[in-house]
Amino acid sequence: MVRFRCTLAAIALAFTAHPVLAADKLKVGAVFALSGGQSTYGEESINGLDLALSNLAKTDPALAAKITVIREDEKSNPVDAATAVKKVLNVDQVDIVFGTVASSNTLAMVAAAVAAGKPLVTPASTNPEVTKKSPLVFRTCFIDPFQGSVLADFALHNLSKKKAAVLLDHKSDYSMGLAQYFEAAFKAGGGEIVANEAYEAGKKDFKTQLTKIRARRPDVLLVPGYYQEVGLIMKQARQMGFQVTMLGGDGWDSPTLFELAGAEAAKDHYFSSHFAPDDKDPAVQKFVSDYKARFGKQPGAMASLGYDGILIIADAFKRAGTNSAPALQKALAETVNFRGVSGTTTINAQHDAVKDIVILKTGSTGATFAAKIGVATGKKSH
Amino acid sequence: MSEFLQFLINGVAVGSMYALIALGYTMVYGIVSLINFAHGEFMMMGAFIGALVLHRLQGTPLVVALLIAMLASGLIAVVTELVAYRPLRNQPKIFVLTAAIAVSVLLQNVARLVFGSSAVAFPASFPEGSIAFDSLGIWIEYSQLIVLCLSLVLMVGLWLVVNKTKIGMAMRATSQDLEAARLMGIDTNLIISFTFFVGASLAGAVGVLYGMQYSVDPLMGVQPGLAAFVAAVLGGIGSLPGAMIGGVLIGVIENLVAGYLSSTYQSAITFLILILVLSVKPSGLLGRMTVVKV
Repeated sequence: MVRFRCTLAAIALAFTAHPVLAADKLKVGAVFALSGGQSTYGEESINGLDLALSNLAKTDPALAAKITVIREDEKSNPVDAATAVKKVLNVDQVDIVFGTVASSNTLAMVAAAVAAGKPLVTPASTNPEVTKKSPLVFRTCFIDPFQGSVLADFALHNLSKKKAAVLLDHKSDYSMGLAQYFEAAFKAGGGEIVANEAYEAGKKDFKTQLTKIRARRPDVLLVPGYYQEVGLIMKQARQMGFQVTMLGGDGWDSPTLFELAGAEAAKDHYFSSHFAPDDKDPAVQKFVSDYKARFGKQPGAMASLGYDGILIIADAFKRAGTNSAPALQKALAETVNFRGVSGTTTINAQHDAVKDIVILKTGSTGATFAAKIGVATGKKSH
Repeated sequence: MSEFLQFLINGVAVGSMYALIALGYTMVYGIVSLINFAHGEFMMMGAFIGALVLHRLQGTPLVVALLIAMLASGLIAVVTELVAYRPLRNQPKIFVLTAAIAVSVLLQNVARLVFGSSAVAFPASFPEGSIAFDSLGIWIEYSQLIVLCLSLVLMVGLWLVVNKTKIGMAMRATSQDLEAARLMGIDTNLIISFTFFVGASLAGAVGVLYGMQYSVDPLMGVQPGLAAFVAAVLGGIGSLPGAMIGGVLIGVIENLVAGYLSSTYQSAITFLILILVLSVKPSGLLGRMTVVKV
């Protein structure tokens, strides 16, 4: 009897593993940080993914029924990320990997996916290196340098500022990349960079830098850092009576920024990000209300990226008509003008997403939608 | 000229905090010849405890929170000395130095576990605003004034304790010669504990000052700790006036370099000074040249 059961199991296994029979099903290995320091990012991404699949079940039930998702925890570090991705690839035999947020963890996952010959799609890793490793790797968010040039355009055209100063973290690639592209685009657009100052993450006193910058009388100040320092820079600028509009990237996107800066100092600055919960776009509003109804809280940028990322995968799978890696890779590369809640995504030759950036304006306790800036995709729509 | 004065003011304000931390380094070195690399973490602990007191017991006067933070930092230092340093006192110096680095990492991670890893704003802040001297084109923030005044009070207090009290005399005696002091009937273990306590409570006070001006996080002690260490070496390690002068000098130099050269060099200059002092005048500005007796 026991032997009989084993044989049955073997037959069943042989059938499920058979490529021809399973070709119209898609098994997605979703690897995100479900514990550790980045778990809020992972939780938001997975919530976005869940919401996307239940919405897909309503709009395209046939497609949704073919997709199964295996979740694995990358525990907020590169070592466990590599282990988790090997588990979904080798044990669960997924067709595609979806994850993760932190660029260094995604980079640790790339090798295993490439070795298994399966595509990997990251919804939120913005470091340019991630997609340079292999043509099997895709990202569905914009890259760091791109934010810089969009911010320059915004300062020149939307805010009509002509004299900019830069205060960057000179030990962060993120900060320097953003500043570099901002400066190039700002000068090309007829603006002038009047001051260029640096600080180091971990330092907390920026008064001398601000004193120098103030003497040059800029009408806008780019601070392409993370919220921990940016909050203090805002606070100290206000303390010395230096009133200037500040600009920054998605490193600002945290409630802590407002706590550190204080209500008055935090007001009336602008930063670029992936998504604004109060964007008037009906698709965004529907997403926000669905998300709140299901999870009881406001979605952040990571939720919107997780939502869009899985739908881009589903869309590519539908066009490919099969789960074979080359077909999925080709279909993903052909993604053009995919309309999601975090903007309209087109995948470029580098397999990065070219998409709209949202500009948010800071208030005393949080940020609100200010503008959405589109980009020329250079590809024709289907 | 007005820019120069402004950089100077910013430098003295930051430098006086470095000076208070440097005092702890130099006192401990003076008495047990140990560079206590966990000293910056005593400052961080003080900041967290001050923040915790103000957060949990709303309405606590600032001075009370400051005193509690100083007491707590001091006690943490006494326990650290008892548990991690004292058992190694008769071992080669490198053992206890390694232990100090271990304590530093341990305290950072304890803070991370207990308080979380992200920076938090201090529950209460100095009154915002500044006094502007329009004719000179400079301004002094209230927070900078408070830091300067409090630093002065603490430094005078320390000077009085060391020079005018019996326990201060015992400290000086122990610092000169531990064995001889013990033979004279001084409880040197108690004096060493007391020295750790006083040094760390000064660091704890800086923690509160620092936290109130900026923010509080588990790694906040690292940068000021290193700057203060260089300040202590610059002033002449073991010398109390040296640590005060060294601290203020480091603060001023950092800000003048950022102001006139480039802010990129702001941190690098501190360590350039360390290398210069060690290679040109290792005894520092006010330190005595010690001859190693064989």
